[in-house]
Amino acid sequence: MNEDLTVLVSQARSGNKEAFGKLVEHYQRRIFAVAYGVVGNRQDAEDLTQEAFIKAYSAINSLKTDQSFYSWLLRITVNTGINYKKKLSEKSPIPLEQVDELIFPGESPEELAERQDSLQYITDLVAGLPPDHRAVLVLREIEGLSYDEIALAIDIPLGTVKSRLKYARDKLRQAIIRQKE
Amino acid sequence: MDCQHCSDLLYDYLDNELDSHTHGVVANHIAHCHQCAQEWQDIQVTSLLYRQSITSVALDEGFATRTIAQLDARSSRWTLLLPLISLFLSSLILGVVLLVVSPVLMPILSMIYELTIALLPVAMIILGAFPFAKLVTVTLLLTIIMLATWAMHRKMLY
Repeated sequence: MNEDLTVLVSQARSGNKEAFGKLVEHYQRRIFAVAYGVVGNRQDAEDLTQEAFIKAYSAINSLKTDQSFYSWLLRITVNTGINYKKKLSEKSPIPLEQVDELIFPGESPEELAERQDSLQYITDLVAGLPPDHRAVLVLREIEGLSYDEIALAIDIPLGTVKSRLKYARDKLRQAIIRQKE
Repeated sequence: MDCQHCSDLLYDYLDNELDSHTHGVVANHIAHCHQCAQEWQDIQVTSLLYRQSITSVALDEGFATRTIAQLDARSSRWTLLLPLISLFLSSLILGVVLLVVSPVLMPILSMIYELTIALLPVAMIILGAFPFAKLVTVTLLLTIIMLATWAMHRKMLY
């Protein structure tokens, strides 16, 4: 964590909302990606991201050190997400037009459409996994946490981290192989 | 290393969780085994597709502003509710305390009441005899009321 962010955390702990707003701006994309990975749909992910920041602000005085702000925020997001009450919106898939069109160099419109189909397919598959498995997967794949760090973040044994990760990845891989065939 | 053992280690290999020796053994096996190389490729493709599916959905513009506005709304809601809740709880506690001590308190209160009524004419006579004392008393009372109003207003603000 760089020095500027540590100063912002320190100011936010003194009740400075403007400083906290800057922290929200800095971390919102990363937290949203994690939230999206845990709840599996855009609207709930946005609500969860907001809830996580609000919870963090309310409890910021319980933060042990300014440097641990992000890992603490991540823990709040994942734990809130796992227990998140699923709303009706979760049942509606994300319309493709809401998915950013990342066109790769040399990619034809047909290839883009095929890739979008694959992404939609993956999104649906991920939504079918249990939330605690999605949480482990997103912390590993998106946040790049080690198995030990994941175990610590969501307070589960190391063996459970490995088994959930394997289960989630196997499910996705088998479904993708079936789709290819 | 046989294929089953290699297959069991592929996720750890992907996540860089193997010691350097085992990492090398797995890399070597993949390089020479078509079946494990295919499995390794499938794992990498799955991981890539997953990461793309998560990162391709972006947060709406203005999220930070909305979140701070939500924080303000929640804190102002509490600012309004807290004095009401504390007033209600204080009244409740006072009521319970009065109820409990009323058998002892009532005789004392009625004695004080009777004494006050009995002494009231004396106070009126003194005030009537000295108009200056009357003026001081009224001024003092008005000052106390003004101070109390100011203090309550200040408490409501903070």
